Amino acid sequence: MIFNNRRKHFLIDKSFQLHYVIYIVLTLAIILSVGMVGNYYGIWASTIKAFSEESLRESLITSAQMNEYEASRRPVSRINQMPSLRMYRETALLSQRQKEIIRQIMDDAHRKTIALGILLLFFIGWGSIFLTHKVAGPLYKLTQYMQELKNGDLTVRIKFRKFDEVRYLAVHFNELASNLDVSLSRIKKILKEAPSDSAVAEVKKELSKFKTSSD
Amino acid sequence: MITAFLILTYSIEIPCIFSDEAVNTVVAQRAVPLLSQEDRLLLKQIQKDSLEYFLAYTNPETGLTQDSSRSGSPASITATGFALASFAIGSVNGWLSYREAYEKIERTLDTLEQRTPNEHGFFYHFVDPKTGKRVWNSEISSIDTALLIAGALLASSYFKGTGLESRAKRLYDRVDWNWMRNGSRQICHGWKPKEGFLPYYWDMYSEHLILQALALGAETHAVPETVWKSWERQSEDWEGNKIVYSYTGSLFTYQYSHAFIDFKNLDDNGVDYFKNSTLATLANQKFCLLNAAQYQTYQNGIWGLSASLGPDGYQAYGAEPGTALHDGTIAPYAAIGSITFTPNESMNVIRTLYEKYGGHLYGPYGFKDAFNLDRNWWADEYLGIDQGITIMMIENQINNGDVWSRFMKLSAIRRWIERAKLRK
Repeated sequence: MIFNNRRKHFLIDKSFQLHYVIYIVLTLAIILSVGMVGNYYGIWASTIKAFSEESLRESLITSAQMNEYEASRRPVSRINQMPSLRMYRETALLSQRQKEIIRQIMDDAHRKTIALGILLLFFIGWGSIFLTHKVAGPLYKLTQYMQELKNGDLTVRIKFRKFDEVRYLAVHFNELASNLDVSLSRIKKILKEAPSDSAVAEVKKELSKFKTSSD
Repeated sequence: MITAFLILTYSIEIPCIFSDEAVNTVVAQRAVPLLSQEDRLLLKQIQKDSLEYFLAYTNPETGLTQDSSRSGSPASITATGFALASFAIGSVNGWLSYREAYEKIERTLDTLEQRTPNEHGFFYHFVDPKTGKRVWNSEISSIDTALLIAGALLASSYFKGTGLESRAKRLYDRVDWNWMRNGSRQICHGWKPKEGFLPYYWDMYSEHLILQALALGAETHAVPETVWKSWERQSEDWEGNKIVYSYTGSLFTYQYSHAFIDFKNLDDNGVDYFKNSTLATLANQKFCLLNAAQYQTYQNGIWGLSASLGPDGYQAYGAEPGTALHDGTIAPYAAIGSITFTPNESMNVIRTLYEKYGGHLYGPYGFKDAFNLDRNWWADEYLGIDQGITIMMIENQINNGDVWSRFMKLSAIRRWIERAKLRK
């Protein structure tokens, strides 16, 4: 039962659907490229900067200084003064600092990715409204004109924008409205101008153009 | 004997104050500033230029101050504490507008309240100036937190009736000083997340008196009175006087607490710490004099051994009494930081350093950290804490102890004096 309504043909309007495939794929490709390339180069730029010769030199000096600050507050022992121990401490501090730098770069990358994601979501939202407006707009317009038709105004004609989707519906709608308008105008004219005995025949002839549930 | 020695070896004219009998009265006489108008102008210039360090190296978004002017230097909470005090001082001196200073202090307090991690109210010693996060595996530091809080309390006292006062107080109130005792009699140096409490405690005289004052004077989480009594007052005889000395004999240990607290009218069971710092400064001066033949830097009346950068890195340089590590490196801030104890002696050094070595040693942010003529080494950087003590001590000296009078009015300080029984 479930499969009774399944789609057999996915491309029922190739031009229209392919059009939208291109729109969506292109938009997502741009978004992904910006996000990925931005992130990739962002991380690398930060890493290269953090581990540049100058930064490493600064880190080495700071590492030594941090160790010296700590040592200057503690009672000095011979063990503390051993060069190998001092070097070990400075290396450990430097290693710790490098971990902090990597963590900071990743934190920055995550923060930027989230910010970029929010920005892109905004653009996707805005883009979606723009794209769906090309379909929703004409459908909305069509509904309004149908309502007017239902209310008896057969003079309405639709004019869509140049790049609106389903523009062909306007042609069909306008033909329908025009046909009804012509027929009913004729009936009105017959009833107004023709002698009453021939009018019935004329009206019948005109109405025979329409197939109805009473036929 | 001492007088004769000094007159023979010291080129600067010194009043006859070093006779053995006179030593005890020396300290009181020295408290009287004898500075000329020129000296005052020079001190003002040094103070103003040193303030430029804090304006240049305080992150405009977080209000955290770099430890050093060197590129890549982390922010230090001690330097940040000194920055807060310096901005307030800059404001009363007209170098910053009231609004500028207020906004800078407010920005720092915002960061300390919201962004900088803390443990029981204590802060990490070194943090990222941009984010406030812990860096360099630094420790949660008791003394550095105390200096930061002292800076915040002092700065807020310049803005009476504003939100800064209550915010600085909140920062102070949330510090759980008792936690830092780790169940012991004394206050621990610090704590690290993985290692726990450091194996060092504030157990002898040093810069920790400001930490003691805040920990005993706190409304919340105050430590017991026994903590004040528990640290050892190790003393040594110097020129007929006892000096309660710090382990390294570095001058900064005799200055940091004194930048905030006026010890002149306080008596700790017979110890007057103002007099003590004066004697320690004179001992430092004499130590340099005695070693002047060995080290060229100490000639021309130059003295000032204190923790600073040196040709072999940062060292806790000092004089006797203490371990007296020295290699001919002099830190200009050492003499400046002692200006309230030894105005004339300090001024002589400041003038010589400025006039004779200013080309190498003086820059846009005041005096650079240190120099060593024997190794032809000149520091190329400024340290925040050294610029900070410079600004505060000069302010006390030339503005009638303005910092002291503001800080001594704090209820916390009054409570500490009561609890430690320090009234004369």
